Amino acid sequence: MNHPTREEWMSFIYDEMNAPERATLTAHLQDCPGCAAQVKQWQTASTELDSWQFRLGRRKTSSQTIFTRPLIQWAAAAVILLGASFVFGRFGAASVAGKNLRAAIEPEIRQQLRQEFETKRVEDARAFYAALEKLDAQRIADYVSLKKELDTVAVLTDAGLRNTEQQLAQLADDTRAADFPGAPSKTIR
Amino acid sequence: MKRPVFASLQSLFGLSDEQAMWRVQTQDDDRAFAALVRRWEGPIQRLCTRMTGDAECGKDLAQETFARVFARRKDYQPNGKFSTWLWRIALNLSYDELRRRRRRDEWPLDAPDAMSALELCAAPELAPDHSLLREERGEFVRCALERLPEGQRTVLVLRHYENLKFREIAELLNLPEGTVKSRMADALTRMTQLLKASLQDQPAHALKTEHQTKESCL
Repeated sequence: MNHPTREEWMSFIYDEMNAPERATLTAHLQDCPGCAAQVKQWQTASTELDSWQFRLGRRKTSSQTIFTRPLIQWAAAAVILLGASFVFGRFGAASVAGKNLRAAIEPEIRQQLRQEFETKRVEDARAFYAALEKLDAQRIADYVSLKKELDTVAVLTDAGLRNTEQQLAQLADDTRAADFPGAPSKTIR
Repeated sequence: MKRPVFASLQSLFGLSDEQAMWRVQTQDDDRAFAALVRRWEGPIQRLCTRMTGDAECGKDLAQETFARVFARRKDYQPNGKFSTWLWRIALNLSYDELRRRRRRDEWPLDAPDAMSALELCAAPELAPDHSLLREERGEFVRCALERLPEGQRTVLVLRHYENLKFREIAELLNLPEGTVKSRMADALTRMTQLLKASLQDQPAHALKTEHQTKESCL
């Protein structure tokens, strides 16, 4: 009989073998008591190795766990409690008592709202008319002021016009006297 | 040992070991170094503890490993796998510690001789309940591992406890894969001999049940 090597059995025990090879070795184990006994011993020793256990010395990590784990648990409990309270209050309490209370206070609230609305409306109207009156008064004042300014401009323009006419007449007289000495002046002053 | 799911997800969305180490190497990035320590301190501490048989010593050696990683960050080859480099440093420190002990003929005070441990396990009146028996058996395994030759112990610890593949161990130790498997077979054979008395004391089905219900401490 052709026996598998020890190296092959190690791959078999630690499962580093493809399926066909594994099937071949499994079949061999059924036919060969010698190999079966040897492999059984190795597997038992391998299993026994797991008896040695120890905890890793992570003092910082373990102390963090000691303090943070209860904190997280309490926080989660608080969140769940708050959520449950909200749902209960939101959907459970709005029942008959709430409806009766609403029916009792509804007319009064409506009356108050109506009065407040009316008061507000009157106040708004008064304010609106007052603003209009103020605007009209301002406009009239502006017109009066404008008329005064226009009158002033007209008077000044008239005076300037008269002055210019006199200056032109004077200029004509002076020109004629220079061209025809001894002629009488036509300018009427 | 399998890494937790959260750690796997973290490594999936975070920096890879090689990227983090590159940052440590080129930018002295302390956050990347902290991430590496968080990721690897457990496996390294386990390895050093299994290799030396002493949990306190394992803790110290793990710390020293990361101190050495930082001190030698410029020596890291970015094209290599970070984990291989890290395992090598931790293994070398463990070997140094074992040699130091051998030179001084110094062993942990709480590590009894393997044969006396065997006698302890075989004495029924000293194993009143299941958990105490399991503890005693664990102690016996620890002592038996200390009696294995260094090469066999290394392969056994890396394959059985740290769940590295034979191919990865071969790469880590610069050995042919066949040699690694051969050493593993030698280690299991030697462990079978050392554990024989203990195994005879407890039926195989009880061992299996115990194995299945054991607490996962690691």
